[in-house]
Amino acid sequence: MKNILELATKELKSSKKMVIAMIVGIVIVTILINSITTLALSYQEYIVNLSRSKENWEAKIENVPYRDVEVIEKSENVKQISIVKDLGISEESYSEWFTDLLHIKEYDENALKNLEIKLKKGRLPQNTKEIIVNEDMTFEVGDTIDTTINNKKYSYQIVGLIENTDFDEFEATTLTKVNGAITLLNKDNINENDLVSVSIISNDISKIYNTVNQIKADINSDLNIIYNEELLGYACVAEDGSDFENTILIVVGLLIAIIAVSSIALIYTIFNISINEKKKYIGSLSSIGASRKQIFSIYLIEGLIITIMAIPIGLLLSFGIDYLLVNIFDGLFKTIQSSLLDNSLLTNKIVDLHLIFSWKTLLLSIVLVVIIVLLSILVPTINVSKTTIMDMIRKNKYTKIGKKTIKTPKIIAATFKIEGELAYKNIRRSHSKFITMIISLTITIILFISINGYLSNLNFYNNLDVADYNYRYSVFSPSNEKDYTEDILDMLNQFELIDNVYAYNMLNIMYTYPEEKDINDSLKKAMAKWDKLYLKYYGNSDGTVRENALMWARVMMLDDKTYQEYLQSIGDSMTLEKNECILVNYIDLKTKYFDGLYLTNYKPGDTIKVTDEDITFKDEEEALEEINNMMGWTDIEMPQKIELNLKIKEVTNVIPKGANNNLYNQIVYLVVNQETFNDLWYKVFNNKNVGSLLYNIQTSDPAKMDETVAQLNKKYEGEFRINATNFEAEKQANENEVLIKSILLYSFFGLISILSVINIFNIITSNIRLRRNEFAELKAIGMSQKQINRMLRLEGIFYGTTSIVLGLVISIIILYVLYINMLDTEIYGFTISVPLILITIILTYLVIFISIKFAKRKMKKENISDVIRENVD
Amino acid sequence: MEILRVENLSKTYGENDNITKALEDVSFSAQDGEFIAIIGASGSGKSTLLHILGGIDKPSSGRIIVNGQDISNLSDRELAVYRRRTASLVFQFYNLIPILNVKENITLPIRLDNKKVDDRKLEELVKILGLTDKQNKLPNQLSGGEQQRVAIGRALMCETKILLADEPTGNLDSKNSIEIVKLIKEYNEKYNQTIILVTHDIEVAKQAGRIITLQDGKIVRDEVQ
Ligand SMILES: Nc1ncnc2c1ncn2[C@@H]1O[C@H](COP(=O)(O)OP(=O)(O)OP(=O)(O)O)[C@@H](O)[C@H]1O
Ligand SMILES: [Mg+2]
Repeated sequence: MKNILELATKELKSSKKMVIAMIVGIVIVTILINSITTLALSYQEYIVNLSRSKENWEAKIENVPYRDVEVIEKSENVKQISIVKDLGISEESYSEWFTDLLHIKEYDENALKNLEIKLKKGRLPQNTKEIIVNEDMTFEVGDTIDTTINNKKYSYQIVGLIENTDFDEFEATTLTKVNGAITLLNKDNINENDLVSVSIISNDISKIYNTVNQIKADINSDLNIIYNEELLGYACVAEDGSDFENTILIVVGLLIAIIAVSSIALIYTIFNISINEKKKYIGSLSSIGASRKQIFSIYLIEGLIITIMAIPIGLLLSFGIDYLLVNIFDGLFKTIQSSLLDNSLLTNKIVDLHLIFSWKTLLLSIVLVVIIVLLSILVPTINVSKTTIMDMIRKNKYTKIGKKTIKTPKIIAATFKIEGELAYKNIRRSHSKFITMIISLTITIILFISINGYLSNLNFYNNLDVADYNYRYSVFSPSNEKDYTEDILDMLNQFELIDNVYAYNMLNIMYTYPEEKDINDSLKKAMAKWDKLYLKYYGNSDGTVRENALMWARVMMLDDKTYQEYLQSIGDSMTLEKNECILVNYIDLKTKYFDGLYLTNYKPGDTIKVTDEDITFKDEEEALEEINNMMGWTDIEMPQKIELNLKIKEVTNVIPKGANNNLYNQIVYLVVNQETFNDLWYKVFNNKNVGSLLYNIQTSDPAKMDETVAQLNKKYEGEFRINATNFEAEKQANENEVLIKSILLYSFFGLISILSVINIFNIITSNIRLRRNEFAELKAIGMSQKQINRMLRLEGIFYGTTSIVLGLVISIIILYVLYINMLDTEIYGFTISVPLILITIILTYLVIFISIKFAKRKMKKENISDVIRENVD
Repeated sequence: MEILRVENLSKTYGENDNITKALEDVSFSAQDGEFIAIIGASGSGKSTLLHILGGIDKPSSGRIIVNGQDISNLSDRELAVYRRRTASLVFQFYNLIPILNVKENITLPIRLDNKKVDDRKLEELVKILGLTDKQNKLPNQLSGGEQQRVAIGRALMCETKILLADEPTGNLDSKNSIEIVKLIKEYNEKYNQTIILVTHDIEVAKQAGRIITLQDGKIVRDEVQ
């Protein structure tokens, strides 16, 4: 044993290049595997914490007699309990119009902390006299509320208002609303036999089912158990599994499989090449009496020593990288969280992302790496220990060639002549090298195309909801009095946050009924898919235009500055007179049915009729009129129909700044001047006071704007409130999602491609190195360097083309599966990015040809005669 | 007719103290169709001479005129053509291309020259070489003698003016050796090919019409039998 160890270490020292390549390979594998398990674990912990930040309990036991609560509290594995006692529903109603009842539950301190309460105003109750009630009721913070439940009188002071709880109820038929209300548990006023609900947080969540079953056995009562399925699912301990658990397992499993295949291809090749180059030496070992088993041990131990050296390096690097990633992602995740939060709640919590270390995952990673290395080196080691002494001592010139002639396909021989034939036979001479080469290339190609395809799908999908606003913030005025908004703008302006303001007003309730000939073909095509495209008002599902097809027409007025700019962008010296309009005829949307949606065929000079008559309600209106007549309610005036003919001055694709048009609000915008708009406004609202404008603000610092708006709202509480929407936040959250996935996927791809590139490089250079003699021989019988170069180039092309074809086929299948799962196939066609494929092809050949170039460096200078002489020695 | 003339050929390896004179002022000429054996002790410069004649090594000084052309001035590309069309080489270790079978190995130089293979000639050659039932085998399925016959077949197939063989029988037993040399001689007579053959074996040398003896890089004897 000692001798074998000595020999193995001697071996190590004698093959430095191989050792370095192996170490690099194993380090990368370790980084990949450990990072994936560690990041998956950290992500899981984050999701669990996110779930706990909403409501923190794992199992809820209902109908527990109060005297038995102690049994639960003292149970093994129970960390904390939250107690809720149901006081009952009030006898009195708090509304004159409908039955408005109060349902009070008493929470203990833990329950107030751990159970979900959506506080909108005020604070949580701090004593048994304080209460928080549903915001829908007519109470305000500070009010006193008296109630009678089960003949007992209670009186509380309201300290906070909340959103609906899970014990709020509404019964439409009896017009009964039961409002949730929460107060502090009154421990002095609780009976041994009173039933309470106890929510449990355990020490070890994976044992929660056992814990609960034990409690059930301990308490002899009719208990009702509810598990927090969401939380248990995220914690991956749910009895029936969970979608989250499945997804994590599939993703981690898939990634590790990809790593395993690429790394086995690499380590196997390195080890195999190194061992084959040492056959002579191994032959002499066995000729001096080393047994097969001993030779096997030497190389196995050699491999294991390298592994043991590489794993700690890999682990250290991995934790370093993970720490960095987690810190970056923490910030990105927080932005996503805050964009998903309901800003009106006071109880929001933001959860941190931490790097989670676990001995179990560490051990799992190490075991996986060792298995991968063993799988890679086992076959070459067994093979070498099996070869006979004679095989090894004999010139190894013709070894590693099968016994069968490789047939070259006719096309290759015909197209590429003798060089092609030689090239083809060369790449097929070693089955294992050919296979590992193709695996390495193909995996890299597939990953590259799939990752890019996935990310571009994701980007596309995210951008569907977030239209391409040319503003990033929007301020809605609080009422119809526009002075307020002007004031608000002035205020915001003082903070130097406003880059541009686009203000406009719209009459949203106008329609137009174009004739069939006026509807553009691309819209008709879209109509065929009306149910998906929300175009049902225009036509029938068979694509025909329905009679009186309805189309929204938004008559739009812009503020002076935006208006002038807009007219300028339409055409020089463009002006609008009264009852003239510019028609925006285009929605920038690409689907498989059309490339950009054109709405109408109107031309400048045509007239478009807008009206407030909604034909889809015509039947109802007629019915109403009939009822009125029947009942003799002649004094009820049916609303006057408004109609206005607008002359189309220009038809354009350009939408005014600040407005946006997407699939979900497809409409024609009709931009008019102020006079036309005011007139129409008066007709519709019977009111000269034109409603306030919608202010879309372009700002370079939306986050700062959020802060400022919040400050102003606090300062002017009671006076007015700025309703503001930060379009940037949603966009930012989407971008962060893409960014996080990009970082992860590209890092993964980067490391896998390093493995592959090392492998490709290694195979190509060793192929060329091992054939040094052959090249000299080929030259000796008259092959020119040019012909040899051509042969090598063709070898590269054959490797590359095989992998590209294979990789493309598999990638396209993967892209198609992604497409089906990510996008609405009814609307969006399957597309493949041609530039992406071209880049892939170019990169593939680049890697191959650079490797060939590198390997050829030495070859050219060599003297044929010298190489042939070496052969004799 | 003179096919080959070597004038004052010298070849030195290394520099200064380390200098080895492999060939020193060697001059001789060969007639079309001559069969010359080169003998000499180990290290006397036989392989060096043959490699230079075959265009896979360059002389330090002197001229080699083949068919009226000085090959010491040829570019690498021209040399490749020279090796394909004018002088074919056979080495002691068969130097076959392992991925090609017997037939493919034999026809390789012709195909490298982008010429059509004369199938009838190939068949005849394979038959003469006694490889008819091995013609689809790969080199690693052949014995040493068979491999050497393939290598010679490859040299003969392209019908070059000159065949240069460096101890083609060095690895074979005496029965096989004589057989192979007979085969070469047969071709020499049939196609009037010029043959220069390096050998240790005096029995083999005796088959040639002329024997040149090298010693320390110099010609010490040149006799016609
Ligand atoms: N590349 C080289 N570098 C230095 N010396 C060399 C080189 N090649 C050959 N020599 C020397 O040149 C001399 C002639 O060598 P050569 O191979 O021609 O001899 P040879 O007659 O063929 O011998 P053998 O019968 O052993 O094959 C020898 O002394 C040899 O050591
Ligand atoms: Mg020699």
